[in-house]
Amino acid sequence: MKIRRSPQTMIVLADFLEDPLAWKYGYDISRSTGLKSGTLYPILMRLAEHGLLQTSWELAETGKPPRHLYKLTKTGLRYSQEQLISTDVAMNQPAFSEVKAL
Amino acid sequence: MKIVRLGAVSILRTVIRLTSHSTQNWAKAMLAELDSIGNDWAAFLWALGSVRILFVHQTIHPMGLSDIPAAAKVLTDRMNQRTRLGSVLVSGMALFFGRAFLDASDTFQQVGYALIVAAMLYMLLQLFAGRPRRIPDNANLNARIALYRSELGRERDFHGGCWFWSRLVIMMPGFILLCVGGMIAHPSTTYNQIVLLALFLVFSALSIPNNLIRARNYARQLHDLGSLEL
Repeated sequence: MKIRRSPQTMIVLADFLEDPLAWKYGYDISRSTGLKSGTLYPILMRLAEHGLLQTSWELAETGKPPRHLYKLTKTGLRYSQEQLISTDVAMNQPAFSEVKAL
Repeated sequence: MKIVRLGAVSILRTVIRLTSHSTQNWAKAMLAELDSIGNDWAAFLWALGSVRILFVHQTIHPMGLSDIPAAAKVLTDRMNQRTRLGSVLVSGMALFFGRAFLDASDTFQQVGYALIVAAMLYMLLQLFAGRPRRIPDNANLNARIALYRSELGRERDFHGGCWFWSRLVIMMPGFILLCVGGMIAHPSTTYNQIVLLALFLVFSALSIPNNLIRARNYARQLHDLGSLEL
């Protein structure tokens, strides 16, 4: 898998692993990881390009623009597990054991 | 709507217009998030981040021949984006240096400005020549593979070989003369001119590995395409 294993990418993967089955909004990920949009979105783009992240446009409520949602694919979950297992980030993930069970 | 938030929306809409089709959805996704950001300045900073999307190069590495139309589309989108952005930047610089030529204080600077404008026009010519070829929507797979192969080859040549080295070399004399002219005309600014010249040389040097790595990547993709066809 040719994807840069930067600390920021690991932070994003760790954030997804907190609730691996949930769809997340970009702004929420930015807030929970502390990453600026200019850092976060290129990472999301790379993850999606490598088939690690699935994206979807939510059904819009009346008067609101639809928002983009993100969730790890099964490959993405496996990849995150493999990558984070060797880092300290993994140790701090409460949901990590749940992911391993998937 | 406050002016700061209007600015944020304008930035994102500009990015959506300028970015390639393959990355446009991401800029639209960022725009869609704006309504969820309560603070206007936070929304503005969020929008500023979208500018980075313009510089993210998406690629598709085809795993089979059926992936090639999508890979060719992403490649031509990126080439189109480079042509658009590059033309705006280079034209702007040509106008800027062309205007400065009129105010040049000595012959060195005049020649320097003129050479830089000539270099910008040469780069504009390269950008124009390097724009992607069009292919009919109903073209068959063989035509799309042929297009993909030829575009990969052109991209490899754009970032390596004569195309790249001529771009680099043609920029040098103008900047050097400009700085030397500045030192002669205004000796008190010698230090600043040296710093400018050093910065130019550093950025030029950095562009060498950057372009050669890209050229190698395209050469590898061409090789991979050959393997897929076997």
